[in-house]
Amino acid sequence: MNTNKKEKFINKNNAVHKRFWQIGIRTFFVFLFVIAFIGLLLPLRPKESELEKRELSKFPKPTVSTVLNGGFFSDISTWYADTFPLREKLMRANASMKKFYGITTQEIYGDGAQGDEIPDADAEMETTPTPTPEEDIQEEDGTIHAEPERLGTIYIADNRGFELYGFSRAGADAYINMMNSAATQLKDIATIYDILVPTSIAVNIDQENQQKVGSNSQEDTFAYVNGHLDASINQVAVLDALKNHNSEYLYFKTDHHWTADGAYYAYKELMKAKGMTPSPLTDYTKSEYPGFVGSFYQYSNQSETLKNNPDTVVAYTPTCNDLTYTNTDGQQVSGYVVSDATKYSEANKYLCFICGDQPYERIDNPNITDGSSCVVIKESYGNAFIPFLVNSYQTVHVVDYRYFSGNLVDLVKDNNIQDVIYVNNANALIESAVKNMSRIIS
Amino acid sequence: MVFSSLFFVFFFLALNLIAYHFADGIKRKNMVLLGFSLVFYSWGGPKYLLLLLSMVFASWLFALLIDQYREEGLSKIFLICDCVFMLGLLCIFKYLTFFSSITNTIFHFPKEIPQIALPIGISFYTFQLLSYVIDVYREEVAPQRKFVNLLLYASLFHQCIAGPIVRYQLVADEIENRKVKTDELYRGIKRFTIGLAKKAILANGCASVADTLVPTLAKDIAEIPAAGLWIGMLFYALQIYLDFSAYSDMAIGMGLMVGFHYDENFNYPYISGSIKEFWNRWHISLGTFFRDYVYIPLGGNRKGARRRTINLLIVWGLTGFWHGASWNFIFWGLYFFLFIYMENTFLLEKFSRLPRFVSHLYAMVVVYFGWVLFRCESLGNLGAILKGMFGLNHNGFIDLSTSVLFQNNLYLLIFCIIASTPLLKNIGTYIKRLDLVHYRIPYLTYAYEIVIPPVLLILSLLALVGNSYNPFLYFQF
Repeated sequence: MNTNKKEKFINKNNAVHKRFWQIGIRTFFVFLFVIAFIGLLLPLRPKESELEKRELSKFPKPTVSTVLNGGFFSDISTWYADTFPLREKLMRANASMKKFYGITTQEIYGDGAQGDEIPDADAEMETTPTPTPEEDIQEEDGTIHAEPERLGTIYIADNRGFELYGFSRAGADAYINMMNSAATQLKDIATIYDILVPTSIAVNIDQENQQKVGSNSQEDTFAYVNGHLDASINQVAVLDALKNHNSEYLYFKTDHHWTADGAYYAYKELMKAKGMTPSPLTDYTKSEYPGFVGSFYQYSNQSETLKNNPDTVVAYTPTCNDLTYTNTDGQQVSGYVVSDATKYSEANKYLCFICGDQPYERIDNPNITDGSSCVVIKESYGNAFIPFLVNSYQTVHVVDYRYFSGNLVDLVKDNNIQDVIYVNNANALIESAVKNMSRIIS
Repeated sequence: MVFSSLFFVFFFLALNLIAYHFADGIKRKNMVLLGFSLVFYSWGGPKYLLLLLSMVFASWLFALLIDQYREEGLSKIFLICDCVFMLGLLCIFKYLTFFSSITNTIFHFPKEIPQIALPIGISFYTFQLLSYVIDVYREEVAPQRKFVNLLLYASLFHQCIAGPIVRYQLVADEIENRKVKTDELYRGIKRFTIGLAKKAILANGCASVADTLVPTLAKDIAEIPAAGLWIGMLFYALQIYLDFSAYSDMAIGMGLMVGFHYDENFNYPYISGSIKEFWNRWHISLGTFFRDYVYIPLGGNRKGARRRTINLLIVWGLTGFWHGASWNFIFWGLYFFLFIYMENTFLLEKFSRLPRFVSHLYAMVVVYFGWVLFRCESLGNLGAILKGMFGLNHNGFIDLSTSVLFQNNLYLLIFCIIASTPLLKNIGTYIKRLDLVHYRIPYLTYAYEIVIPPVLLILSLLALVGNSYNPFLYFQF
């Protein structure tokens, strides 16, 4: 067919074309206006993001200066986008589009910042003393110096996430100083146990590959810290125990925490150090909460790989399941050592342990009457660990050093606590976290 | 406000189109456009609205004076007054900080370098208004008697803050006399959604890779292995094209939706076979501005080879400087001057004897390194990138995170490269033709045409929701 003939043919059909253009135009406008209308439905707008664990931005209040410099208006645009109705569903849909961007057998999220060089275990500590925390913390106002847990670089391989570990020399030194100071203050009052918990990368990936992805050695880190701790501190080594069992389900695939099964090995090591027999797993009631998609998923901006490999939170309920805690408002609330997480959202199932992160918690086990008691100083890694202690102590006190506003030494003295157990994952060996640990003993 | 924000698309534009539709007669429609444009412009800080208003007022006044006093021979004086006023303001708001830092270093004056925030879009609307006044002076267009009409031209949110630089001549008639045709409305919608998706999905996707692999601090750059920098700059080159051309697509599309016809601003620059060709295809409205208002008035190529070289040097220095008040942009412009000079003297002739892919490769390599220069506002960064690219930062060829990032974005890269060529368009046209020839009613084409804008709109919505990473590169100009 020659060009002329073609053109003729096309022109003949112009009226038909027009009709279809109109359908195209109307279809588009229906979509545009329906979405615009949904955007106007204020009650549909979410106030917080569960996925990102943050409060979404609020509609700005105008002030003369923000109106003049345009800040007020740009805040409106931010608010509009940040709280768009069905935001999380839309974000998820978008995340599933990401698999079309490339091959996703491995993924890396985060800036991949390098850690410091790790000194040998017997190396001298840096001579510049770490600033004493008292100087920059106001004692009286009761301010809580909490740092939310923040993840570094996430590496996804073999259908699971790992967090790269970066050694902080200043953090490790501060931790050593803090522990030694605690040892001095609690001398002849209580026994200190220090449990340094490796993160999954140190347990599930071999040293050579850890190095390849740019992750520092946690073995060397722990060796350095342990090499400088006061002799009165009982070091409970758990890394080897966990490594020896690394084919088991010790860490979540989609979350930075360890599982209760991982924590149980630490409990066993602790009991070994105390010369006591650990309570066997059969003494606990096992429950399972499938469908857990944790922090790695959020941090990787919803990696499809992780979403398709959800975790199951396994919890072991001790012989006593009641606890009381003091929340951040200072109110006393009663709760459970292991809560039923069936109805918790997929991102929150780890909260089934000891009601999540609370400033102070106390568990009294009526089945034990030997007067034994301990206090656990912990971040969220401690949560999966604490239920096991309930079968071994009459009273378990729990202090989350990020939120606790009291004094640990006073707590130990007032309650006649015998064992002070520090549980920290490798990533807590940073200055901002240690600052809080120091705060509660000063 | 940026086009690729949820607030713009689903609130501002939606409201604007409704108001526009229900406004009766061209005058009311223009009032709607003007009102929305002023709000749009004020969104970045209402104080700069005064600047825009005074520049429009000056242009309006001087154009009328030029026209009025032409017989008396005073029009040239008014033209000069206008240029001094407009370029003076541009210098103060865009370049004063830069110039003062130079004089401060050499003469220690002024003691304190004034810090002036760049008013949004000033580079674009200053040039639009200049072209208007100069065209009036040249009697290429009649002066606009109504201030509001000129204000509408300069402030129209379609093109006010990031181009294209629309000549007044082009839209002079359409301001008061335009009609929206069904096919054009459809084309406008399609063009807008293509631009939106190009920006929200492709350009932002490239940007996140580029920013990871080519960080902003020299010490971070030094830690990226060689392949990371090469790949990062490749993504940056794609990002900058997709980003900027997407903006023009959206402007052209929105123009068509209300009956304005703006010229194309990009014509697949990455298929060029020379730097000259590249600049005929890249940011066309800027190139033609400098050609018509600087190069040709300076004598162009009519005054001998030496004079032509000097003219080119001036044009390219200015083109570079227009992109930002920083040395690297000037060098970037002069870098292109160098290659265009060589092309004029011998390169093009040499290339004409070689297969096309050789000259294409040459052009792309030059443009690629041009972007390296463009990205680095400090010499330290430039040094770090260039050293790193050739392995002189001693951190190996590639590391795991680079190769993972590359694999994760491989299909995106391939798609973006294809999207930078006319391939998709040609295939589409071919299929459409085929369909039209074989069937009386080409349902396949129709179905495609109906489905594509809403699909792109929704994909863009997904990409934009919760996407705080959303800067428009050309905002700094």
